[in-house]
Amino acid sequence: MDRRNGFKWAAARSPAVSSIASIGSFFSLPFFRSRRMVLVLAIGDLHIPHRAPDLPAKFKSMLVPGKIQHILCTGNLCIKEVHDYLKSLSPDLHITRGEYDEDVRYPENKTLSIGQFKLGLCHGHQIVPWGDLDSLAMLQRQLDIDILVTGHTHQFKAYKHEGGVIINPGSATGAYSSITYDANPSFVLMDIDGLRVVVYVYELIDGEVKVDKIDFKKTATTQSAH
Amino acid sequence: MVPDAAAADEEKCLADGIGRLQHNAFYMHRALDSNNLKDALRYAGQMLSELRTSSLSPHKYYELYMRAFDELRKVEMFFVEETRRGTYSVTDLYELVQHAANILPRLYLLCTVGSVYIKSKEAPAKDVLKDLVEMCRGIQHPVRGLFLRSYLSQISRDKLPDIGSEFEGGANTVNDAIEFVLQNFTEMNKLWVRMQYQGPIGEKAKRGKERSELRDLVGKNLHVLSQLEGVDLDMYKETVLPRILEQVVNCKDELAQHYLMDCIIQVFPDEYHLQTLETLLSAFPQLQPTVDIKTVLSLLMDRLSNYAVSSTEVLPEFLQAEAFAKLNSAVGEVIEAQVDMPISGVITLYVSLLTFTLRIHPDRLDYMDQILGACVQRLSGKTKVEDSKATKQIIALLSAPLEKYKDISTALNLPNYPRVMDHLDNATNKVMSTIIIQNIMKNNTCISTADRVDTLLELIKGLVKETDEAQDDELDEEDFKEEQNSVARLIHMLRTDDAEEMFKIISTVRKHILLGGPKHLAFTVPPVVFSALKLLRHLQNQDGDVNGQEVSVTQKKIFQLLHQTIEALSSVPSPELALKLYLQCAEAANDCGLEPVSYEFLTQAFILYEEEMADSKVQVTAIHLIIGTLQRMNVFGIENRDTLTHKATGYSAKLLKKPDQCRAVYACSHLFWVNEQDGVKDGERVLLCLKRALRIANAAQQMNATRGSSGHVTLFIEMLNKYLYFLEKGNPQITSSAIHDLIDLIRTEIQSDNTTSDPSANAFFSSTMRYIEFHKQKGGSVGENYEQIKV
Amino acid sequence: MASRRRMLLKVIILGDSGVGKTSLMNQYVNKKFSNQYKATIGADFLTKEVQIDDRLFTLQIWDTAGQERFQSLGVAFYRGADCCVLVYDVNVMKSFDNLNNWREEFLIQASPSDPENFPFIVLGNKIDIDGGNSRVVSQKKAKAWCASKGNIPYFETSAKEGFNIEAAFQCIAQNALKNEPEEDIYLPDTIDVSGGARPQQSSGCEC
Repeated sequence: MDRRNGFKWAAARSPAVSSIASIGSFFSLPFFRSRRMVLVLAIGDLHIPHRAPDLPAKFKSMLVPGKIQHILCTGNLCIKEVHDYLKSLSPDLHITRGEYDEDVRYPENKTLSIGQFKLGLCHGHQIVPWGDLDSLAMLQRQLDIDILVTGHTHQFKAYKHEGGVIINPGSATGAYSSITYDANPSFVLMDIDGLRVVVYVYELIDGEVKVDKIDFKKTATTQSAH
Repeated sequence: MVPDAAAADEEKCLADGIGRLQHNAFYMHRALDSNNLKDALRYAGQMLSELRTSSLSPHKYYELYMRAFDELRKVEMFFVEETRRGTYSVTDLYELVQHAANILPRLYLLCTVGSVYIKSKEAPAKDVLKDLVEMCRGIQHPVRGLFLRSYLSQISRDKLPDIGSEFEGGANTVNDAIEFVLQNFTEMNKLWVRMQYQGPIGEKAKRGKERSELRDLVGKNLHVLSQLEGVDLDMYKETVLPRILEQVVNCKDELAQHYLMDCIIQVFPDEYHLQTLETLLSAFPQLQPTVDIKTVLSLLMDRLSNYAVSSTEVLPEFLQAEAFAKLNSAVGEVIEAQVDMPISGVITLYVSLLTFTLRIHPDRLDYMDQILGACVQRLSGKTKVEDSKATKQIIALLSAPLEKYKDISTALNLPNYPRVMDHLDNATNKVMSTIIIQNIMKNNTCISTADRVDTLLELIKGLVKETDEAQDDELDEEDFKEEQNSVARLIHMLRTDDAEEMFKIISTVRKHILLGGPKHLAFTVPPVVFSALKLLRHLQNQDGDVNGQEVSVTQKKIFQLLHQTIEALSSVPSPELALKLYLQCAEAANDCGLEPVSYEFLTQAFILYEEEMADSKVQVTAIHLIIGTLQRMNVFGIENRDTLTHKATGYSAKLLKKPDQCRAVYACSHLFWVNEQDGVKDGERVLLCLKRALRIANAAQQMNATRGSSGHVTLFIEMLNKYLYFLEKGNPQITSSAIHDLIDLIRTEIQSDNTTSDPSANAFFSSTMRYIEFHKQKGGSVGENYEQIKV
Repeated sequence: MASRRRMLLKVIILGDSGVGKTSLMNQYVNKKFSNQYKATIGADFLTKEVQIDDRLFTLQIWDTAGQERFQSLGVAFYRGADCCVLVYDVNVMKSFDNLNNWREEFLIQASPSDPENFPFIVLGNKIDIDGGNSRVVSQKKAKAWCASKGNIPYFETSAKEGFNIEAAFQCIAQNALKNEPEEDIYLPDTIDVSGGARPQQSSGCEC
C-alpha cells in the first residue's frame, strides 16, 4: 500500500452475492444492525421517454422510499416525472445535467460530502474521449474528490485509481447507447461506513436481478486537507 | 305550517295516540284476565280506533300500528285459548267482533279471529281468506287500507294453503293461496296509486314522499309469493308473473311501476327471470314514459351478470334462454319507445348490456361488436357528444372491454370500437386515449404488427394529431407535456423482433406523428428515432446470418427515414435536439460502415451548429458532443476526416469565451489520438492542438491579469494534465521540458502576488503533482515516461 | 296475566343482504331450504313453539330486508324485541365487518333500557360452501369480536345443511327469555281520560 497525502486506497472485490430481493433485506443481515446505514443510490441515463418507456418493474419494486439517504443522479432522466419519482425515494437528491435533460438548470457538475467521503457527480458527455478513465481521473483531481460518479456510456464501471474511485452506474433502463451495445439495466447502491464504502451493483440480466459487490477503503493519515 | 312545527305537532299527536292506545290496552287486558270478552272487545275496539287517525305520516303511523299489532297478538292468544277450552266457538267470535262500532277496528278484529278460524280448521282456509280480503274493501283510505291489508297479510302468512302445508287439502290448494295474495296485492296497489291523486296539488311532493315510505307494504306481497313452495317455475310463468305485470302495466303509475319492477327482479330467483325473460322484457315498453327503465333494466342485467359469475354451471341456462338476444332487443325497443331518453341514458343501457355480455359470453367478440355498432347508430347523425354524463358513459363503455381483456389487441379487433371513438369530441378522445395508453403500459402489452399500430394510432388521434380547435390554447402546458410524454412512452411498446415488420411499424408511427403539429414533434420524434436506431443495431447483430446486401439496403432505407424524421424538427423549431439526433445517426452509420451517410449526418449537424445555436452555453455543449462523436468514428477516409476535424477545431477556437475555447481545443487533441489498436495516433497534430490551446490559455491569462482575477490557473493545470495524458500514451512529441515549463508556469502563477488565492486550483495542482510522483515511484512502462520529470 | 304476556318471545334477525337470514328462519321454522337468492322486502315474521325447561313459548322471529332500499317504513318493529340475531356470511368479509354497524344501529333504534346487557347472538352462516375452502372469516376472529362485545354467544351454521340451527335457536330463545321484558309501566291515573280521549275524526270517511 502506498501512502499518499491523506489517502490510502484499498479495494477488494467479493464474489457475486445472490439476488437480493429488496433493499430492505439489508436490514436483516446481522452485521448491519449495529449502526445506522448510509445508503447512497447512484443512478442515471434513464432516457425516459426518449429511449425507454419506464424503469424496469423489478427495479421499481426494489427502490422503496425511506430506505435511501442520498441519491446521486448522473443525468438524462429526461423529464420532470422521473425527477419527481426520484425525489419521492429520497429527499436528498443531486442531479447533474445530461445533454437530453428537459430541465436545463441542472449543474454541469456537483460535489458534496457524505460521511468521510467527498463525492463528485458529472454526467460525462463533457469529457472527451467519452468513457476514458484517465480523462475522468483528471476531472476527479480537478474536483478534489474521493469518488466520482459519472455516466453517459450506459456501461457499469467501478474503477480504482491513484486518486480515488470512479463509479458509473450504467443506464437504469438499459437504454440505447451509441457507445455501448446491448446495455443491461443497472444501478448502484453505495453503503458508506466510516472509511469504507461497499459498492453494490444491481443488473437486470435476462429478466433476473443480479447483484455484485466491491469494497473500497480509504485510510486518512494525519495530513490535513488543503 | 313551518316544517319543524309540523314535525313537533306530529310527534305530539303520535305520543297522544300511543298514550290512549296504552290506556285502552290496559283495560282490555284486565278484561281478558277476568274472561270478560265483551268488555275486552269494547276496549280493543277503542284501542284500535287510534288507527283511524289521518294526522300521522306513514313512518309515525307505523309506530302506532306496531303497538296495536303487539297488543292484538295477545288478543289472538286469548281467542285461541278460549276456543280450545270451548268457552266460545270460532264462529261465535267471528260474529261478536263485528259489533265493534267503527269499521276499521272491526276489520282488525275480524282478521285476528280469522287467523284463529283458519288455524282451527273448522272452515276451509280459502273461504276465510277470501272473505277477509273482500271485506277489507271497506277501507278505501289509502294509508289505513294499506296497513290493514298488511296486517291481514302478516297474520295469514303461515296459514296459506301452500303445498305441503297443513292447511292444504280438499278444496284448499296453492292456487287459492296465490289467488288470495294476488288479490290483496292488487287492492293494495290500487290504494297506493290512488294516493297520488288525493289531496291538494300543493302537497304533491309530500304525497310522493309518503307514498315512497309505504311502498314496501305493497312490495311485500311479491315477497310472500316468492316464498310459496307452490310457486314453481311453471306457476310463476303461467299465472303469477302475468298477473303481476298486468297490474303493474295497467296502474299507469310511474312510482309504482318503477318500484314493482325492481321488486320483481329482486324477489324472484335468477332462474325464473331467465326463463321468463321475454315476458318480463315485453312489459318495459308498456310502462309510463317517465319511468326510469334503464335503471331497472340495468339492475336486471347486473343481477343476471352476478348469477353467471356465481357458478359456471349456470352458463348453459343463459345460452338456452337466449338471454343475450332478448336483452339486446329489449334494450333496442326501450330506446325506440322512449324517444326523449337522453343520450346518456342510451349509453348507460348499452354499458349494462356490454358488462353483462362480457361476463356471460366473453368469447363472443361479435356480440361486443354488435353492441358497439348499436351505439354507433344511436350516435350517428348527431353532433359530437358533449354532454358530460354521456361522455362519461361512453368512456365506461369503451373501458369495459379493455379491463376485461387486458390486451388492447382484442378491442382493436372490434371494427366498431374506433367508430364509437370517432363520435367523441376532441377532449373526450384525449381522455379515452389516455386510458388506452395507461392500459397498454400497465399490462406491458406490445403491439407487434404495423396494421394494429396503424389502427391504434388512428384511435388515439386526439393525442397524436394536431387539431385546429381553439380549445388547444386553453390546454395547460403541464398537461400537454404529460400527454405527449405518455405518447412517447407508448411508442416504445410498438415493436416486434421481426426486422421487416419493425420497419413497417416505424414507418407507420412516423406517418402518424408527422400529422401532429410542431408542438407535438419535439416529444414524438426522439422515440421514433431511437426505435429506428435500435432496429439498425438489431440488423447489425444479424449481419452474419442474413444476406449482407439486403441488410445494407434496409439500413439505407432506415437512414433515409431517420433523416426525414429529424428534418421535421425544423418546423418546431428544435435545432439543439436535431443536432444531437443527427450525431446519433452519424455514429450509427459509422458502425454500419456507411461513410457517405455518416458524413451527410455530420454535415447536417454542422449546419445546425453554424446557424441555429441559441447561446454560448448551448454552443459549448454542442461542440463537445460533435468532438466526442467524431473522436469515436473510424469510417472516414483521410480527406473527409481532415475536413471534419478541421471544422471542429476551427469552431472550437471561435467559441465566445476564452476558457471555453481552450477546453474545446484541447478536447480536439483527442481527435488525433485514438487508443485502439488501429486508431489514428498522430502525435504532431495532437501537439499542435495542445499548443494552440495553451496559447489561448496564455491569452486568457493576460486578459485576467489586467483585470486582476485568476481562474486561468486552472486552465494551465488542465493543460498540464493533458500533456501528461499524452505523455503516458506514448506520444513522442510530448517532451519533458514542455511539462517542466508548464509546472513552473503554474507554480509562478500560484505564488504570484497579482492573483488571488484559489484553493481549488491549489488542490488540483497538488493532486496532479501527487499523480506524477505516484507514477514515478510506481515505475513500470508508464513510469519510464515520468523518469525525466523533475518535481 | 304475567304468564300470558310472557309467552311471546320477540326476536329480530339482522345482517347484510344475501347472508342467509330468510334461509335460516325457513330452515328452522319450516325445515325447508332453497339455493336461489330471493330478496326480502320490509320486515315480516314467522312463529314457532319452543320448549324451555318445561314451559312452552311462542318464538316470534322477525326476518328483515338486508338491502337498505327495501326498508322504506323504518324499524318500528324493533320495539319490544327480546333478543337480536346478527348474521354474517363466513365467506364474505364485508358482511362480518358490518356486524358492528348492525349492532349499533339496532341499539340506537330499539333503545333497550339496558343496552349493555341486551342479548345478541351471532351466527356465522354458509360454512358449507366449497367445503369451507372459500371461508375468509375465521372462527377465532369471529369469537374474538363476540367476546369483545360482552361475550355474545356465537354459532357457526349452515342453513342449507341444517347444521347447528336447532341449537342456535334454542340458545336464542333462552337468552330472549332471560331478558327482562320492556314493560311500559302503565298506570291509568297518569293519563287524562276525560279530555283528549276521543280519537281524532278523519275528514269525511266513516271508517
